[in-house]
Amino acid sequence: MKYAKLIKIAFLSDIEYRIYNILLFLLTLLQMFILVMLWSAIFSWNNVETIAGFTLSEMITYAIVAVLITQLWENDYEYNLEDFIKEGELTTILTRPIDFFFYAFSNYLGENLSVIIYSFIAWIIAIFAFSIHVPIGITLLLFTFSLLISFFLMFTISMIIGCFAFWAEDIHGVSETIRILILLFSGSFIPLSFFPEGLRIIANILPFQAMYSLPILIYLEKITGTDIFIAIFIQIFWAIVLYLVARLFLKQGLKRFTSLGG
Amino acid sequence: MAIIEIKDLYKEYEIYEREGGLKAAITSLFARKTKKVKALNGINITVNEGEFVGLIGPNGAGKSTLIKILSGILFPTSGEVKVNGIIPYEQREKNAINIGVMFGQRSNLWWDLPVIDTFELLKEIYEIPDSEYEKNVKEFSKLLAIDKYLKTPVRKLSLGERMRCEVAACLLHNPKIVLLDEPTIGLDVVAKQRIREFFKMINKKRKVTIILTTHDMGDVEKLCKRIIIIDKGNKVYDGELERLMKRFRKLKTVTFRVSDPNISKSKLESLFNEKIKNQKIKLLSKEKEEIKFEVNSEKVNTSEFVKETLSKLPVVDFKIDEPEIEEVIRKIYKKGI
Repeated sequence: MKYAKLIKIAFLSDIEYRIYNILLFLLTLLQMFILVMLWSAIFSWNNVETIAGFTLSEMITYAIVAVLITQLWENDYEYNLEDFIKEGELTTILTRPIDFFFYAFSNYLGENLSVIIYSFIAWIIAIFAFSIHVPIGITLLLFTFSLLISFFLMFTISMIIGCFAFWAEDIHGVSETIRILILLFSGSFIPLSFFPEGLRIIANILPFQAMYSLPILIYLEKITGTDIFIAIFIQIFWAIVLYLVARLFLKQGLKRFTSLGG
Repeated sequence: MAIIEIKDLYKEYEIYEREGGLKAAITSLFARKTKKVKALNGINITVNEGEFVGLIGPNGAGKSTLIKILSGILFPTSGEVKVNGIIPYEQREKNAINIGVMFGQRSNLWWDLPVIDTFELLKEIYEIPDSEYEKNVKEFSKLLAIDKYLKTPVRKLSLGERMRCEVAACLLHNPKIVLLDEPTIGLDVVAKQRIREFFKMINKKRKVTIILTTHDMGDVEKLCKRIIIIDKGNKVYDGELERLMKRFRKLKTVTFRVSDPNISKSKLESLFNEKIKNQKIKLLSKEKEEIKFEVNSEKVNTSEFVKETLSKLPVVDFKIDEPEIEEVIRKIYKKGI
């Protein structure tokens, strides 16, 4: 299968940069350590048992899983897409019998394979070092599924941002804006339940919570029973919507590309 | 049988323009001026199966635009194009299976990985059957002498080595049509030679139709029977290279070396007054002992002109040159046909 081969090639290409990946791994460990320190300090300083419904141990688990998700999915893939478009690689790709969306997705997947292994190791370390919560059985399975959808969502967002390169000279502006929205409204930084009512409502109608908040809450078993399926349904809904938007952007972008030339 | 048909092809680009300076920069934030540039201006070309066509023209003539339209990555403004019966820009992926494209200035290979990995990826992308793939890799490795580089990461290859691998990569799937955009750019003589021989063989033995754009007249001379010259989006010549050369070959350059460096230009002009007046010859240059004439061999017999000069001037040495292809092309670019 051509896309399987593409994933393999991107993986092989990526492990050429072993040192980079190992450094990233060490950085993840450091980040986890800092977050554990930070939350422990916040809890003991305020002398409270829970904040917005989170105990210290739950909060540490939340923060660590969020870091792992961030590390897991290289989250600035839009710049790779920008390079494809600006440096002319897209021209070569378009001379091939291949669909660019899936070409890029395979490339993204392949480049992240080694990080998945590192993140898995970091997760095991976190279980022993910080005794974080581990869901078992069906919950773990549903979490994994939810994580995969989150992965796809990250890609579609990168694709949408990357497509701006068809029109704009530079995509940093768009990228940074959306990255800040994600940081704020996805729950990657602090749980959304920390937010005041108004902001929480905004977060709930935006797609970003499906990337972090929902999978982490499934992991923490804060969402249980049939609510898990509702959460996954919301994720799938956003996956479809963002996929269609990304497709539309790509279609319009390619239209422009093929009328201007690379 | 016609494999490529191009009818009344027009392509216009819209480009932004602005004057220099701060004021113009600020105005352009609100209203951008656009200018239309014609890249192709009503081109008609038919290429038959098995032809080897050289597409030449100065920079910005529209060669790459044409190649891109044929590859399906560029939409024309108007006109009709069919490549093996398919409209390339409407059915890009379907067209891609029939064609092999090589842009000399871009790489087809995966930078960090050994060449063979890219080959295997292409095998999957084009769904090349195992036997055909193995046969091609074996044959191409031998012909292009790349077998020892197949396991080397691309970034460690020299330009010549890489280009030979690129050539193999664009032919692995046995395309019916090959589009080459400056395939020998930047290569040394040996690498050029090897690549040319390879294309010649592919064209002859496999009956692959090849369209080649180049600035290297050596490529054209060695490979293409037919050439198409385009300039400013217009086709200015389409036919056999030989016929074009014949038209210009009547003009010969005769250079004399004389013993007396002090013969003046005006003296020369008066000596050959009649011939210059009747445009039989032209005095091209006179520098010290060296005098250059252009002789129109249709109007005057070259040997007679030489004889005459020998008797009139203290000639030490002389030589007669036919125009080189480079020169012919330069003349066409400058003045048209």
